[in-house]
Amino acid sequence: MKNKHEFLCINCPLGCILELTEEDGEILEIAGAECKVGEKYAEEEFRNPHRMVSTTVRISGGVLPLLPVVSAAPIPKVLVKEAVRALAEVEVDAPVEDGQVVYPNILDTGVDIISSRKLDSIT
Amino acid sequence: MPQQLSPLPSSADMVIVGAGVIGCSIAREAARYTSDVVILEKESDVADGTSKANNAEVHSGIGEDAGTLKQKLNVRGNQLYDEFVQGLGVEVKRHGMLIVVTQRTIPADPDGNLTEVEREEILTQKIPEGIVAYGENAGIKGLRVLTRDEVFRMEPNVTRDAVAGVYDQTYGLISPYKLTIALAEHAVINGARVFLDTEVTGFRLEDGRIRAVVTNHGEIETSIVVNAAGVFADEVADMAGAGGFVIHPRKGATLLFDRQVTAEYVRSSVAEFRLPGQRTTQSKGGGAMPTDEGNLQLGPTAIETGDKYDTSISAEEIEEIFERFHYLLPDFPRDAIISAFSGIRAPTLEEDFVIGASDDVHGFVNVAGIQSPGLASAPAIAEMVIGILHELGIPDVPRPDFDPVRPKPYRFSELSNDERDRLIREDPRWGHVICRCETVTEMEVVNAIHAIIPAVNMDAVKRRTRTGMGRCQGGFCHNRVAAILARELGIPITAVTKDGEGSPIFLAAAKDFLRGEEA
Amino acid sequence: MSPVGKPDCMVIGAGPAGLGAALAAREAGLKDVMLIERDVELGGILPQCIHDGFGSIVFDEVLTGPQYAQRYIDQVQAADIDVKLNTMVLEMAPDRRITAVNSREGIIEFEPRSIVLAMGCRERTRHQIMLPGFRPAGIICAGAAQRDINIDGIMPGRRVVILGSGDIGLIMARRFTLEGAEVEGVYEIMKHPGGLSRNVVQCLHDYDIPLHLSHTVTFIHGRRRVEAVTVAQVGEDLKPIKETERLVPCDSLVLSVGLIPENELSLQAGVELDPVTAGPVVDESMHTSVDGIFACGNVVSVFDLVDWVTRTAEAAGRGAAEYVLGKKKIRAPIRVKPGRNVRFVVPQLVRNLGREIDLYFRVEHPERAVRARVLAGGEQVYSRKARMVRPPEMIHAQISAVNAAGKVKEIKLEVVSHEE
Repeated sequence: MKNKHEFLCINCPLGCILELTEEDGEILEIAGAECKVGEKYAEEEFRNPHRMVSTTVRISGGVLPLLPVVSAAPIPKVLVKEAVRALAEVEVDAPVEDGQVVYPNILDTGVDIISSRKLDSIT
Repeated sequence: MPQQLSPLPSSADMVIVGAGVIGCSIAREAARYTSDVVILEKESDVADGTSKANNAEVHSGIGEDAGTLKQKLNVRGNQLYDEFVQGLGVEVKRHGMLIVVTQRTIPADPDGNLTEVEREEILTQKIPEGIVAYGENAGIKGLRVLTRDEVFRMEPNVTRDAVAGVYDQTYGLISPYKLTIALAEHAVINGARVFLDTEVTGFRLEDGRIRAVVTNHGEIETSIVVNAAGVFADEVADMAGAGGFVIHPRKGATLLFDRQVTAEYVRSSVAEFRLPGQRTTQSKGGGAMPTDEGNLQLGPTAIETGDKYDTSISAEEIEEIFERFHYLLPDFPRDAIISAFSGIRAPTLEEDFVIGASDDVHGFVNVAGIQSPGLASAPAIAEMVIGILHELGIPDVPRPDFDPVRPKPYRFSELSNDERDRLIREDPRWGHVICRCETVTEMEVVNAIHAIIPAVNMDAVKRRTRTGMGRCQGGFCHNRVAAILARELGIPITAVTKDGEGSPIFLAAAKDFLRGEEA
Repeated sequence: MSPVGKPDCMVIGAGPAGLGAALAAREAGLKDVMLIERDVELGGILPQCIHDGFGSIVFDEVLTGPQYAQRYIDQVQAADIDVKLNTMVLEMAPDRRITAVNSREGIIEFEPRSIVLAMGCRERTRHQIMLPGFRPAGIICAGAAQRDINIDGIMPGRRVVILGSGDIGLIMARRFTLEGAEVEGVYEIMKHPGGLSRNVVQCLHDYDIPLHLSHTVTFIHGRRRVEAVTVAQVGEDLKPIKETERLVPCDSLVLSVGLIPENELSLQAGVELDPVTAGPVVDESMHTSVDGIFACGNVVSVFDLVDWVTRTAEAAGRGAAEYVLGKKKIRAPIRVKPGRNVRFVVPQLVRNLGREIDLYFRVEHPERAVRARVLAGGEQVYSRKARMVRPPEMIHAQISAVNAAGKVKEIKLEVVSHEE
């Protein structure tokens, strides 16, 4: 059975609406793209969409109560919500260095969650 | 310990229901004679009913109908005001009001019944002179007729259709909530006690006399009750069987503008003179009025509402205000709007004040139906009520130990740099500015929280310090003020409210929703 | 009071604009550079912008806001720049005298030889858009909500309606959702989203949050706390269509309805503002109409990319240094005229066409297949084709040094169909 999936292209201000037709996972057609970058994007979004994850984790003894963190690389889109939920349980101790690994290999993706900044201790 | 957490006393010489500007005026005047005054307020702060939404006008009385109690008390109140605010740390700014007569004051005359000369004479002489005569007849001083040129010199932004004016010199402006807070604190300094979050639910009578007031926090025995309950005065009176009047709530919305933009737009208050048959609202018609802080107000509306809690503002009301004043002030800088607020007037069906000791219930004094010119009349209303209280048994000899001063709280924004430096050396919190728009420091917020009438929520802090009243409307300071409240009151920040129970600012700490924990 | 300080350059605001300007002023030779910041730490708005998307132009990397800020914070801390945190500027006079205050030093006065304004923006409020209804708790602007959630660790709402689809509104739709709140929908009065497509996809589509275009909020319900909002479709005139009104239960209304450059201090000093940008009129070195006062970043006009903020900051810092060191010849300025489909250009003035100049502009309306071009004295000095231009995306045009610069009397920047 043929399925249609729609994606809004993010690669340039044109914002083409890309329409991808597939059957049993095989891509039959990608319509609506004004350039090859758009076509590739639609394919990526269909097959293997990835996203950067950014959130905060609790930090104790720091000058602020929360530490902003970010994934070192994009992770599969389907895992983002679960990743954030896992990070809600994390509490780190100050001080923290910029880029410090706060949670290695999130959800077995091979991607570390790192600190987005330097955060000093309150003393 | 904050006042409202202490238990009600078992008895008091007199109980005032309602801590608005009227209740607090009476409380403070009564405190000159007795220290045993109790004020009950159902909201979480004084002035938290209608007084906080008042337009700050100390009218001269020129707009009131002759022969009414309103007119009599307005004229007297205006004259008493400077003396009334002595020692309170607030003042009346006698900016004056310009009443403008325009081409449209007399409707167009298609049948040609009036010659141009006759029309001109009516507009530039007969009408303004008539207004002055009307006022002088009521005892108002400081009224004078202005020529067209004088009108423009005074207020260059008024419509070119202006033909003459009347300058009302004794008209003034005072912050209604700062006044109320000052009056309440002055009363407390002199022994009165204020109980917030305390709602009257009934009365105990015996042989047609007041015996006690029943509240949601218990009873107080008393033989004198002053009903200054504003919009709820009819309900309170009915609880005691001392009613006989009905309050029909009429809300009024006002638009407020950025003082940096409108600073020179009008210098005094400006209103258009409209003959009674031409008025579009059941009110004096409002105007463009500076506040005591220099922001400009436009309004108010006057909309009958069935709901005593309906302080909502509709799109139609906003449009109506701009429409109404477009003729008088054609280039008004609409985009400089920073806020809009609404309050509920408490008019009776007769549209006049109801002030007097009840014939049905001995000891019950109604001070009801106080709509505009309530603020202007407050000193005279208090004077009249004190007279009634003397007759009911409150001593009529002033107390020798009455402290005439309620210290004015320090305001960083008003101090000289030397004074600021001195305060910062005493306490560094004076150097920590937490409200950018109004230049308010942490110390002022702390002081407000621990004041004689403590501020325990965001709006109460706002009324005392002006945090959140500027052009960013709390965008910068709301979390800072909330954090200070939480710290000073020893409560979690999720317990901080905007104006009492049911109005939390924050619903949870971060991660609470994700972790399944909530405040 | 302490003696009056006389730094070579005082930078007001330590966000990306101020940080960049202070560094550039120092690198251009000023010894005594001071940075004043009202908040507890450096970074301005960036520490709360925890999402990525910053720095693709300046660093050729995709960084989060805090990461971008850290790059500059580290440099400032290594650069012998005098930093005053928790310090509020109270007054700025036309002769550049500054009065500020903090808890440690009390009232402090300065006579800086130059000033760089870098105060950024504040958010447009509920009352400024004259939104009817009650005034309950639960109404908050998106940036303020972002600060509450990401810095202070408190949640301003649980079931949220967002008004405005600019980038900050879209980013907060995702942020609320990831923190376990529910975003009922994003309502946008225009026909097109206000922010980048990337954010529409990654903040709304990814989380199944509906975007209602041509809609607005017409009433706020709830006396103590928000209980619901009324939403309605709007017509071509952007006025609500009453028959389409619908009640949406919620406990928060988050507003993303525009940013306003914070120029109260600028007005105190008599700085001329451009009514379209709401920021100072500046030349290519970011010099304002008041001698020795420069401005950069969002206080000049709302930029879409922090990279442009950094570029204008560097221009301002260099400009301040040149001014103080007496290197600058003040020439008569040439006005940069916004032409066809150009809403505004920053800088509005150019004094020296003999050097490379960066212009930043936004179009009035979306247009396809266009050419952006700059005409100096009638001659084309810049041209670039674009498949599509949209108001949310600021465009950068770099003009190389122009020959016979002294003869040019007018510069025009316009967007035309690319056939022309």
